[in-house]
Amino acid sequence: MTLQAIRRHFETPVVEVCQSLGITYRPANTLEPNGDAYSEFVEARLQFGQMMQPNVGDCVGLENIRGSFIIEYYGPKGRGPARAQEVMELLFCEMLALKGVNSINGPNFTELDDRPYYFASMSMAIIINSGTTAPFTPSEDPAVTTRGVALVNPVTTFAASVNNEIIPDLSSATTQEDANKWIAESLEALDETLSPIDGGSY
Amino acid sequence: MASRKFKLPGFSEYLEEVTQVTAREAATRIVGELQFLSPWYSGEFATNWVVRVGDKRINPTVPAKPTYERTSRQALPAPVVPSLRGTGSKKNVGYTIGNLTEYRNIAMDLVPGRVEEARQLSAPKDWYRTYIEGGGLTSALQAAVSTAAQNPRIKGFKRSNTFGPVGLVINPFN
Repeated sequence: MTLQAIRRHFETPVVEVCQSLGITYRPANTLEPNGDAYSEFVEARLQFGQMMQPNVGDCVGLENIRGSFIIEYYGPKGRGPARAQEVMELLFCEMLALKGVNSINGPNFTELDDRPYYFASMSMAIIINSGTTAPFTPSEDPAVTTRGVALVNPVTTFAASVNNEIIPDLSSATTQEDANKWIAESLEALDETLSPIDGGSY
Repeated sequence: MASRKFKLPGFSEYLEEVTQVTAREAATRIVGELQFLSPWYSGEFATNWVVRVGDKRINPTVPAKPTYERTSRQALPAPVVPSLRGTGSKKNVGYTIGNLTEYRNIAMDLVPGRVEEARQLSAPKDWYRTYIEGGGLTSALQAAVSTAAQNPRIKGFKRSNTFGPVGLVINPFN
């Protein structure tokens, strides 16, 4: 479980709520465009606490990462609390339904002294283990790529050809379809090579 | 079931079925860790953590000064934690932990203002929430309970069932 995957898991509901309400969402470590409060925005931060927890027995895949997820709403000061309450209530409900959220503190509302904002925030204790986050499904681009897939014991085609391994030439593959075709040919080549051994049976 | 309530700014934590000594040990550890983790400019904030017996309101009595002089972080003496002795049969009496400074919510990053214009940070952003919600507080409570479990002078100690719910909602701006 990467930290990016964890961030995506907790940020996605916030982004969706902001989109539905027409509010600007500012991820962590992005520059504030201006200092006035004519436009409202939501900010969320993920901080990690204890990330080391001994595993029991052979459960090597079991992760147990703790942290705090903080959501802050900034709106114009002097226009009442209704809008802030509406936003925070929707965010609260979304986060309450999210796996990995242990407890939610807030929301709290206050007018900032030195800035022109009405401010609301809530935070939640989060615990992430390997079974917490569901696979991420992009809503806009459903294409699946192998860009983020880490290979176990990768072997280059050059190294394979030197060792006379049964991998067809990949140099002509430039698209995903080419790669799919290459994989299919590789399996056929493997099957053909193994036929004298296993009698051609699967 | 009796439970001792630990009230911190914005949060409550409970210890179930622990002795007065264990609760005091836990409060000492928590305040010590808060002192250690606190942002440090002049040292005023870190030295103004206090512990009160029971569910008390801790008013901000240390006003912000016009200017401060930066000092290097120093080791602070162990915090003074009052004993629960005398609370008698009230086994649910716990502690309230708070800070006396007027700017405590900013220092704890409960409201913005500490890190935006800062050139040098003595504590990471959201240090307080990370400690409370990220497992630090839980570890402090566990350590206090473990210490009590190993103390032969504490009789009738039950190692099991030591933790209650976390994070009840309390408005930190009160």
